[in-house]
Amino acid sequence: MSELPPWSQSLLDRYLDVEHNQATPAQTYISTEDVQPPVYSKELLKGSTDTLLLSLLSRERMYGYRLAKEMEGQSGGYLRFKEGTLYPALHRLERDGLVKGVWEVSSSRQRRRYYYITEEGRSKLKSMLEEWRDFSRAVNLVALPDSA
Amino acid sequence: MQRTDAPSYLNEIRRQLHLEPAKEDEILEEIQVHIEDRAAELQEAGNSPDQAFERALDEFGATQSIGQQFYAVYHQAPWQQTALAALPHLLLAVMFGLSLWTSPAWVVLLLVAATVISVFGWRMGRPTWTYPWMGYCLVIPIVSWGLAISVVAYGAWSIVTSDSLPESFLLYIVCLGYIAFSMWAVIKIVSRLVRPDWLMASLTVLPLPFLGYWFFYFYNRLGAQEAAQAIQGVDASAAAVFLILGASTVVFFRIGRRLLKVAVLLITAPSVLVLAWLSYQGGPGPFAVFLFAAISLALLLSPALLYRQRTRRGPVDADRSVDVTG
Repeated sequence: MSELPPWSQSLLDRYLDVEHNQATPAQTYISTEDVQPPVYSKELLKGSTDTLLLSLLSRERMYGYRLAKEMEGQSGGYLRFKEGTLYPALHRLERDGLVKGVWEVSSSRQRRRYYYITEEGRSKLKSMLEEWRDFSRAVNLVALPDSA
Repeated sequence: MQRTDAPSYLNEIRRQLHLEPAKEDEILEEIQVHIEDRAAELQEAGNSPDQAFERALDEFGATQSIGQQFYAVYHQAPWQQTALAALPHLLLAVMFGLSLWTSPAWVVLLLVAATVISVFGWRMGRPTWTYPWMGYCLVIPIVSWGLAISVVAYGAWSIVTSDSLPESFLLYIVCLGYIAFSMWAVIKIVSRLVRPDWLMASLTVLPLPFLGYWFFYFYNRLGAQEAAQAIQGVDASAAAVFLILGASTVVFFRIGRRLLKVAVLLITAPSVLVLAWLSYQGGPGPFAVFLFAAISLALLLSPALLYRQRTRRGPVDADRSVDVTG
């Protein structure tokens, strides 16, 4: 589970083509602030937040700011959190035992709270991804029968 | 919004957290580091320090929304804790439903259980589910305090009317000492309960207005024996009251919005009093019930006043602002 499965990117591309007929180009974190924010339902991101955060943390431990950057970078600038919502989400995952936050001093001598995925979190992520794969496959079969 | 606005921005979030100071500090430090990282990046991109902080704070989002989200994370209890919190009310419902309250053994057993769990909870850092148990613990000092006051008041009335004391002078001295001590103990406990969240202290005292009304009704009857018989006749409604208190506690613990929690408490306390008034024949009149309801609302909101006083004077206030101005 080291990379996002290819089907998720494929689904994302299809979603963009169908809903907006435009693809958001990959950008660096700084330059994306000058482009129009991506258009998608907030609920869509809200429903996927846990899966996305756990997916990123399953690859390596990260602190909040880095998570936000990775999220944006790896989605080609498409997935952008309102940053203030990231931390309550992380604390909720920690409350539920899916991640663990640990204060560490980074190489820049800055104290940061790094998040690690727990075994329970990995197990939960696995079931979330399976659920998402089955669900998206079913949606594609109905909504996009030509490309499914 | 400028760089100098960052401390007030963080303190606005802190005001909505209602957590232990150490936990609040940890959350704010995390946010502070994020804002500093973002501001540094924006400065590297050519923004002035003030512009960079303004933009970083703006991107981070509205303090009210962030505070509410954190509040929901830390104040929305899982089902297991919710069930433990509602348990004392449900036990009382069973006690009244089966008319077990007239047996001293059951009453003592419940009070001992409430005391043991409250002491355990106090020593374990007061997990939220222990607060309703503490409420029933407070019944012991409050009832004994009321009895001591009635003894002293009766003695004072006897002096005025017949110039003599019905009991020995020493008893009144002991009662006066006990009144002062128990008042000090209850105030001390409640003032600790209002930190870090006064709403939990309000939840603790939630059953007290009904219990007060119940005792008032009990002692307003002709004699203890008759009162017991009269009250046993309406045990079902008392059981219903405790079921309502249990249900309110479940809702209180499961919802994440603070305003809704306040509403649940403020609706429940007077509602159960009205229910009791409608069920208990020959009890106090409408004016007395209205007075009880008003007192119950004042009691539920008094922890908020106590909390405000403490934040003005005490260590809660201590203006633990986070310095992000460098």
